[in-house]
Amino acid sequence: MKRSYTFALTLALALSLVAFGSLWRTARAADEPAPAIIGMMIEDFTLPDPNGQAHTLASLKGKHGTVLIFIATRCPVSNGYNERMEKLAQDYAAHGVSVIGINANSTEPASEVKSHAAEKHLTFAILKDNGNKIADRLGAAHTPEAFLLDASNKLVYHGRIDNSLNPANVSANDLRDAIDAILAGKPIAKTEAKAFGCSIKRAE
Amino acid sequence: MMLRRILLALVCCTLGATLLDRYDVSTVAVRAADGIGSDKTRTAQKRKSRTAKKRGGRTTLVATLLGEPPISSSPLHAPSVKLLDAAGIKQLLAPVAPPNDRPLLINFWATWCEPCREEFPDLVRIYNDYNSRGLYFASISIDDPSELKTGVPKFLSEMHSQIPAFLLNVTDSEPVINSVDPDWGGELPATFLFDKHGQVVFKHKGRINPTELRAALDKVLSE
Repeated sequence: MKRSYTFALTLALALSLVAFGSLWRTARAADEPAPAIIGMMIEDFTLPDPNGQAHTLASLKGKHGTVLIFIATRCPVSNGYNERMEKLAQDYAAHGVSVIGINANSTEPASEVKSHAAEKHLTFAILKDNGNKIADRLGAAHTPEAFLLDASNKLVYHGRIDNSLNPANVSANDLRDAIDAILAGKPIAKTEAKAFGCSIKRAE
Repeated sequence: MMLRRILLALVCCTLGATLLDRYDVSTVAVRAADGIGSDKTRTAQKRKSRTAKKRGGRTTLVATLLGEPPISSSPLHAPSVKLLDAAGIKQLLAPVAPPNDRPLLINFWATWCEPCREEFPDLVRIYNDYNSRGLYFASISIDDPSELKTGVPKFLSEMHSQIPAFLLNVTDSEPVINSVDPDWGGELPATFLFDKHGQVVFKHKGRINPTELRAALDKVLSE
């Protein structure tokens, strides 16, 4: 009796493990990066700018916060936000919040990133994430995709800049609201928000 | 003896449902082959409508939306694209009652998305191969609604696509993204396969691998 009970229990456990494994595979494909988790600390990293000069996060971070935005040269969604990203950088520089663009697309070489920034009048720092190391670490999947770090480099907001590619239709300024909240020392009402974007073209 | 009779009744019901489905599929094929907006097409549409009525109203919005092939009077023979709002997405994803409970494949794309354009020929081939095997397939463009009669149908026409086509028309995309898959961040292209119970059984962000998708389709259609 005891033996059959033990056997049934073992069988149930084995089946549960198989089911869990199957669900996990369904939920997350092997080639997908792990998603960013609000509250995680972002360790310092070093990436080159389009001229090849290395920069650390520590050297570029803002006193009160840092916005990392994964951007692209060829993505129409990312390009639709060029002016808004530049304005964001200018508006918050005086408040101790810096904006750093990161290009992780393997299809867009550093020379293209450099000429694109000049052509689109992007004056904030732009780094080239060769091999998607930082995109993988943060779980960045598309462009534009923002990660807001507080003064201690803790991730406090992740996702879209606002809720419409068309500036005339914007009704939720999620990223600006999150920055304003940390500057005011208040909790961020919405820590994650989504929008459509171009997938990051990762290195093979 | 009684068991045999029950089994025989079950087999008859299954065969009947299969034939009914095949009838629908054949009308779709007739319309696709006849060209666009022809008399034969309209006759076929009426036949389909009568078939739906015969089913006693069990044909849901999903069947209505996806059962109709793209039709247009455009000289370019551009496929018809329907606007899809948040309520439409909800209905599209809702489980369908038998006998119309079939797997559903959804591909999100945009004309400005390079990998979306690159993978589209594979999707067209997959639609052509699996449509008659009982698969619902919807392509959902997230282009600006102003592209409803221009860029989107033009691209679909170039692709010779007969995949039922929709253009998302929502003020905020986040609820749509979350309703399709809470783990999806919104990157394009994105392809999701739901089984006939409405559960996601395969998903891929970025350009699809046709072999992987076909394997998933074969599996879900054999269940």
